[in-house]
Amino acid sequence: MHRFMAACLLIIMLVISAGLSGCWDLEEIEDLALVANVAFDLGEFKKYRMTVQIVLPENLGAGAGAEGGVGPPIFVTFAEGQTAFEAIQKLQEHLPKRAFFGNTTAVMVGEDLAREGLLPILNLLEKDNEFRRNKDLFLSLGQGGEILEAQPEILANPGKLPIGFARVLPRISTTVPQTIGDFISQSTSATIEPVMPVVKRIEAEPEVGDNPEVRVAKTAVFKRDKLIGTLDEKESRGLLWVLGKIQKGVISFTAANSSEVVSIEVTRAHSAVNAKINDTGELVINIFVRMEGNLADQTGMVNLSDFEVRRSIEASLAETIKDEIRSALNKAQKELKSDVFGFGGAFFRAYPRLWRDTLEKRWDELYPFISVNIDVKAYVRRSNLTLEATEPGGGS
Amino acid sequence: MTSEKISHRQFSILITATIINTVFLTLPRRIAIAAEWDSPFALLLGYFGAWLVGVFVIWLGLKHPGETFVSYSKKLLGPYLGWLFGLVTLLAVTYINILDIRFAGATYIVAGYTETPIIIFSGATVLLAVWMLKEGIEALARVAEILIVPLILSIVLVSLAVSPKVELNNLLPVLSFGIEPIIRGAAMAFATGLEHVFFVGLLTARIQELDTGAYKYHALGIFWGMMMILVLLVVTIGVFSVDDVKRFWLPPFQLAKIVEIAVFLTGIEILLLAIWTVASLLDVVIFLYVSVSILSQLLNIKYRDIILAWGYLLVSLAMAPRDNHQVEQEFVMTTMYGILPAALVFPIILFPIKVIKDRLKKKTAT
Amino acid sequence: MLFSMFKRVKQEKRECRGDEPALPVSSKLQKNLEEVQRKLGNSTDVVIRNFPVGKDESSQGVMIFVDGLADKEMIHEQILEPLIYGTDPAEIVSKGLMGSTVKKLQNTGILVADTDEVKCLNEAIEKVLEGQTLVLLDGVPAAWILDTRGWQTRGIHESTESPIIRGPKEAFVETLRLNTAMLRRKIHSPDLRIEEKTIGKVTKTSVAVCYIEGIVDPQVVKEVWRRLNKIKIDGILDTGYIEELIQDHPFTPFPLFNHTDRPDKVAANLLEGRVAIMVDGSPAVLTAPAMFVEFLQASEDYYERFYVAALLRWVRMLALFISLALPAIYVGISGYHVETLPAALMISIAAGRSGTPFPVAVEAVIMGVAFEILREAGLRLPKQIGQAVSIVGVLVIGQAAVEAGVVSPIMIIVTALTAVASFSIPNYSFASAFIPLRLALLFMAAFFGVFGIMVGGVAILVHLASLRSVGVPYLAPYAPMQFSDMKDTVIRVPWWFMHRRPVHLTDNEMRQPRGQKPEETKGEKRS
Repeated sequence: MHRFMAACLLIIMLVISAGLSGCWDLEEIEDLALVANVAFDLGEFKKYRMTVQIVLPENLGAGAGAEGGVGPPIFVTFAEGQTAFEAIQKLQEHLPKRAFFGNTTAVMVGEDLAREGLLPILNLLEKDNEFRRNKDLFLSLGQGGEILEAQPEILANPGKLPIGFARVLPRISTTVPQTIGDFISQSTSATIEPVMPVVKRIEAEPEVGDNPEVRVAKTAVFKRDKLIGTLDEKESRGLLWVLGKIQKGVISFTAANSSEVVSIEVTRAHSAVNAKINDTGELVINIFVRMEGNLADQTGMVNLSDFEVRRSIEASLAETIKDEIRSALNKAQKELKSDVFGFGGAFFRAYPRLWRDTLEKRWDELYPFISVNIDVKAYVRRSNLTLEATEPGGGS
Repeated sequence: MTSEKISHRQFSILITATIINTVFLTLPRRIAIAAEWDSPFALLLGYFGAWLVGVFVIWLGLKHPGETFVSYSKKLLGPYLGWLFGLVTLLAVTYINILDIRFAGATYIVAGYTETPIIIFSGATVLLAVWMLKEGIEALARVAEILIVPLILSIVLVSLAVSPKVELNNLLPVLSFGIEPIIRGAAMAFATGLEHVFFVGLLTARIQELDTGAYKYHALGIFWGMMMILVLLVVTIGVFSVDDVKRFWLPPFQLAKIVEIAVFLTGIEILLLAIWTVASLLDVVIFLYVSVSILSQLLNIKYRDIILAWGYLLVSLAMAPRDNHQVEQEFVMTTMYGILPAALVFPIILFPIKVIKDRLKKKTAT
Repeated sequence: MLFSMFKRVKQEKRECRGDEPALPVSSKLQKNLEEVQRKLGNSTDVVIRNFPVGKDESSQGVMIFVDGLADKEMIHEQILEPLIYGTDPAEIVSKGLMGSTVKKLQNTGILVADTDEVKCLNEAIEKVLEGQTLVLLDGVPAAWILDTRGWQTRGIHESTESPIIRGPKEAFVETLRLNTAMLRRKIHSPDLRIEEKTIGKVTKTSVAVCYIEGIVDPQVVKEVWRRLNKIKIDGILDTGYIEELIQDHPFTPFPLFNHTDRPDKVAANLLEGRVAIMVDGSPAVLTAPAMFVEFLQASEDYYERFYVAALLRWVRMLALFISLALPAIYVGISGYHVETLPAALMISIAAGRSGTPFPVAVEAVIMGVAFEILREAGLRLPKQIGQAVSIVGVLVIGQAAVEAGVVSPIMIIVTALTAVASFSIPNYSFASAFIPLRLALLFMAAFFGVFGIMVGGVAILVHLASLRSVGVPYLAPYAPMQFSDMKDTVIRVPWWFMHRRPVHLTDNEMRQPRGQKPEETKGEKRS
């Protein structure tokens, strides 16, 4: 009886306390404005402009009605504020529903804002309980908000555009995917500098009736949290080799002593960056890359059954990769002077005390003059379903 | 047939629960601040020390069968000093308890319950804890036996789910800044690990057929609890890097936020947090048990009579306005300057006294 | 100890004691007859037959039985005929002592196996009301009871409560004697004990406690008898009465005794060291101590292959979880933690919800209640009407509600899934224990979201952990954890591996010797 009374008391108290003032945080799902993506730019009137892309479920053809598609499936609006958080609050002046960021998939940042520094806005994304650190980050050439207005025909829900790109990027390896969390930790750390994929909006041609198109290419290079330049596709690939982030991708090159072009599909890649201080006190980085691939395509008659030919292809493949890495180094190390490769980290791991005491403070001066050795081992493992090339027939 | 006794296995599980409690959410940060890349070693060292102290407590418990540390410390130290020792432990444990009660609510507030008053979370947790204690330590042990399973599973699941994101580079270099950071981190882990000592001091009186097997189960309990924290520590540092872990209030919660299972299952941090409520509940109930037991033994009353009032008191104390930074600081201060010295009384003062007393007895006997 | 208790019960019958003043049998037939008539009133089903005894009809006798309860044919042929034609009256008159008379009478051709002699009219009347026949002779101060019980019973049918595909299909019926016989037929051991007691001041219902001596924990039997002996009630119509009167925790929603109408299940329970309680007039047999895991076990688990059994148990556990928490989880997540939903699901829920009038929590309650109403209506109505009700129900709470925009489609899915899940729990009482809990969790979820569900869930767990059934922890073997008993919980190990009985139930653990694993036949068959 005693226990029962205790249990009753507990339940009654909970129910009363709930009933008197309960449901504080209850929000009906239809009262939320589901923000698919956000973009940050420099504002016209206040410091920051935040653009949100809101999905309209009714127009997406989901649910009971199933007719759907009456209006556009997304709604884009923006607001400005002194901080990003203030911009969110201002946003509510345009929105009769509460903006909900729990399922936001990506953040676009405008070029101008990126040049001024991103940490002031990204800070919020790490603090706030609705955003997530593992969401994708893109740099928009031009205004970030423009990207959100694009409605590519291939997607019923244009809100999926960035996440779609984020999933495709590792397959082509032409630029480096970035997440909010990694960007923050890289830009706050001294051992590596962040990069970010670049999206570009290609304007529509009204007479053809095309929708505006969005393209992902190039990689933006940052120093701390400020944009300082971009790497083109070849350089981006070079960076990816060093970072060891290549998963899939195609390398095309002209085979040695012939004019035919060979395409190698990367199946496996691995890299190691080792830091060393020479006897002479010189800082040296050794990059070792090992890759395996398939001969996916060829324009002529490379005959892989010949051992020599295989070796020569592998050699030119390695050379191509080296070339890509070199071009990345030229741009990022010599020209932009940004340690996107994480050489600082390599030195920190190899010489922790030395790094702490001296290197870290002088890293900006030292970095451009580090000599880099590149060692690439490339292997072509198979040539898919045909072993020999197709040849134009006929008697000779 | 009801008896207020628990089995050895339940003892072990209660120890694991005490070790994991809520510190698995905050400890990675506290250790990372002190020991940086050497955190895992600091953790191991700290908990090894905590285990050693626990061994002394069990030894004392074996020497005084059926007695809690409050009663035997009165015998060993004399009634006044013993009472004072009880009071000091009571204050330290109670303060930790109050902070835990607040913490139980604060985690929910930052996880998205922005409008719900904190008293709801803390109050509900304490009410459940009080109810559990009313049902007795036996029911508490059974509940812990079941709840420890989802708790450990959730930790393992989170760690597995984010393991592809672990970068080895974030964990290196190790052991390269000398012994000092390890010692600092170990001190933190040691003090936190010592929280379980008082519970052991009470439980030895409640174990069925208490024998030297208690050493083994105590060690097992510590080991599994420590492993869970170690796994989380390594994974959080591996995923986020040391600098980030230092910045986060609850690194494992940040981990939970980025868990992705089979592409579509994302944003499940609230489910994990719900499971981790179990940890804070077990934490609150265990410390509530410790504090109310000490109090009842100091005042010579039954704990069931005062538990509800005591719970109310603690909740109202926990509701005193504080900010997160303060809570965090107070946690560290209380463990370092309250729990640590109080727990060290066992091996440094009580143990030698007991040994000397036994020797003297033998001499007088012969 | 037990045996002496049993003896005491028997003695009570013999010594003519009771709540009412005792009525010893008089030697005058007329007086006895008046007394009987006063007690029984003029109920039309009581037959009082006067007959002359012996060839010269010098003495009178009366036979009393209840029409419908007693086997008339038997009375005619085996009792009346020998009494009238076969007895020698001179001997009866000359001896006048019933003891020897009965013996003599038995020897003279009355072919009833079970006869008894009582000195007390109250008791004699009780027996008559059980279907026995009372014979009173003039000048003999004793009543003669002949067991002529034989009434129309329902035939043994298939179990309606838990029908199975493979395995024994018979089910208990309403007659206690038949039920004990069915149990005996399963367990031929002399250790099977069936002890009886009459409970109920008015109904005088026989209650039997069955167990296997040597397997059962004597403490449990003692405890069950102690509780049964404490019962003071006017009537027992089903084992449910007994259950509520003797369970350990009076207010818990969970059944602390298992009940079944399957003899094989009862036999299996007895073999594990449990006690069965049967009540005359009800096919539902209680078994105790009950444990939480037991309610998720179906008889077929033990007759089918063990992988299948394990798989089905997981399904049942999942069903249990769904039936308890799915509406709460839906409300908690869609009301508080939308980010947990996969993006596509979130969009389709949002689309379905737009335009519906009620908040999601209210919607869940409405649908839950609507379903319970439908279920109740379908259950209580005759089968033909029940079908009509379910068709209407499907239309109303299903399609029509969605099309009218009253309820969101996802809510229908949630309700339907919950309903189906609650039906897949083998034990009906256990499944219905979750209805109030489901509602409570739903409220918690509506007020506090996932935190509320968690608090509610832990509260249920704390309650479960504090429960005991006849002294055995309800959550055993999960908590207190007993690793050796896990063989029959989330999985069911093959029979050749089930060496031990549940540790919590019995001290006689060894069920069978080890090494019973059948040999695998490999290679060529030998002749």
